[in-house]
Amino acid sequence: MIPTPHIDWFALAPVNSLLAATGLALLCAVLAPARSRKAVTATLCGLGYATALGFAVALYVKSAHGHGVVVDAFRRDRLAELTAIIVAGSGILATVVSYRERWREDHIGEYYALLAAAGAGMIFFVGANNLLTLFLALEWFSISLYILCAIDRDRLSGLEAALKYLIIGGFGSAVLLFGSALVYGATGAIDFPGIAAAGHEHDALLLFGLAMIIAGLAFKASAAPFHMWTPDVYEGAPTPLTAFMAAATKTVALVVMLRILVTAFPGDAYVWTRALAVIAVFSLVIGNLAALVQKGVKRMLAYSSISHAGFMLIAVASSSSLGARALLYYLIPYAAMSIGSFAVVAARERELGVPVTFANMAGFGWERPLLGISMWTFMLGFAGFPLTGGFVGKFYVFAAAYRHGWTWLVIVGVLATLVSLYYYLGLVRAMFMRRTEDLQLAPIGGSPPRDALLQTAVVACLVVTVGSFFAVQPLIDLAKHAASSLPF
Amino acid sequence: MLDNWLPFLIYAIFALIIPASMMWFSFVFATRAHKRTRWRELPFESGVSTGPPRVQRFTVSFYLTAMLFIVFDIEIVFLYPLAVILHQLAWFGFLEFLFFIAILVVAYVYVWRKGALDWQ
Repeated sequence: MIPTPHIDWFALAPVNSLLAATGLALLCAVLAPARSRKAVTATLCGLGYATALGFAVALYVKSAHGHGVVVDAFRRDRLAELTAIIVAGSGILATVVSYRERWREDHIGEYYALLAAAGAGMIFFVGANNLLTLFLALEWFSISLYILCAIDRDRLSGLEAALKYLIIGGFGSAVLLFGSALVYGATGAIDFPGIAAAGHEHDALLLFGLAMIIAGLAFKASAAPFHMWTPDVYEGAPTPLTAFMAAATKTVALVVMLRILVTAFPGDAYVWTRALAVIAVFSLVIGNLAALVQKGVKRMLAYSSISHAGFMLIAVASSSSLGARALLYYLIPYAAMSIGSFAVVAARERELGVPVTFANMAGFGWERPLLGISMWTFMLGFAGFPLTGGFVGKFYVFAAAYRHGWTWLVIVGVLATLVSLYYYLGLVRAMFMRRTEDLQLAPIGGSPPRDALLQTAVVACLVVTVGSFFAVQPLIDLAKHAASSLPF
Repeated sequence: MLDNWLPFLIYAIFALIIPASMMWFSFVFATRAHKRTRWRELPFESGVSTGPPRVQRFTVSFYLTAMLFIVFDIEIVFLYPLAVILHQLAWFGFLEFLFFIAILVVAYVYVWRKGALDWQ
């Protein structure tokens, strides 16, 4: 008799519920009648994410002491579950925002199937506890996203974005894989604790591998100088998908970076903390300066997401429990603000039928007050104003850097925030404060009907953005418990 | 001693019979005239004619079918090792096997309903 492994199905339930949604949506994409296909597959995708969210919450509550499952390939701990909650929440919102997107719908069933598959891959990614699972999950969600970018075959910009993402993303994956091979060569272990226990801290091979793993994950987190794909892909991809990528992909890439660096490379902390600080400074400088000159709103938000990768890398670089807490707290309002702002862009895009620029946002705030005020709040949140979670997030990140003794990094961060005010408030000015002759109150072809689903999603994002400022303590506690899964 | 070699002998006999019968049948069932043209004088090379390579254009259906064949064929290869030790793995192995088949069936139904199996 061969001993069969014990499998903790509960720990895998969030991933499996999304995979079940993928399979069912794929079957409905070909078996359901064409009229109801969109409704059925979107419902399945949304239900998959909702089930995953429910399981993730239950797992968070019941996993106070993290442990490995499936022969230690996968971690069941609060770090993974909190991230899974953020991913599943982003997935629900992205599904809702996608529903009324105007595109050719001959692959709509596949869109929702792949959206669920991408989420499953991401949740698997954050639980990865060895280099093989890490790479498998990375490819799993990346390939889903490459296809999703090109799902609307009539849009050339989408095809261009998909191709750029595929080539550069493939390159990033190859770098990560090569790095993993070097680390395995140096230590003879692929599981994270095993790599740490091998004790080869000053091995050149290991340091090379570490550098390549950081570079590979920085590609996914779109941190400079590995950010080149971000503006083009965010601009070209369908806007609801951009919202999902900006929120979920960045979240999982940063959390996995934190996990692998802290659990597998604690002995090399003096190297990777400095490396991440340099990457953070690059991201802050390049993201903010490039965002200043953008005319397209999606491109501006893409560069803003690069600068936010910089802010959150400061938290990772400080390599402390406080830093981990700051990152995990910051990700909650950040994900909500990203999805919300791209959803507002999607709403304007559906009205105009052309890419949204600063110029054609003129008067939008007066025309659609709910979306306008929400966008205003998201911009203030990105800039780090009080009454939004962005303020507390930045405060915590700077506190972590200061505690680590990096006052200079705090100064760079504050300067970057000051620069960012120009373009964030520039968008608010474009929406609300244009002269009367600039206003384009009536879009060409008359106003489309109000999109209740999209507005609901935007309001949900608004609630999280503002709510995370007032509910700081409970959220910080959540982040603290999640961060305690890591060996600091 | 001979017992150990008997399966090999049977295998070798089959290995000879199958190609020999194919060649024989191709003469027996040949419907064209027995005229000796130049091309028919050339040795039989797995169906590939030994001339200069000609630029050929295949319809895309060939590639589609070939890719689908490889996907399903490789997945079937995974079932062989499982079949050998299925009794030792008992119910666990059987359930995993069913789960694997279910995934294949979803893919198959998708491919079939998409019309990828129709020859155009």
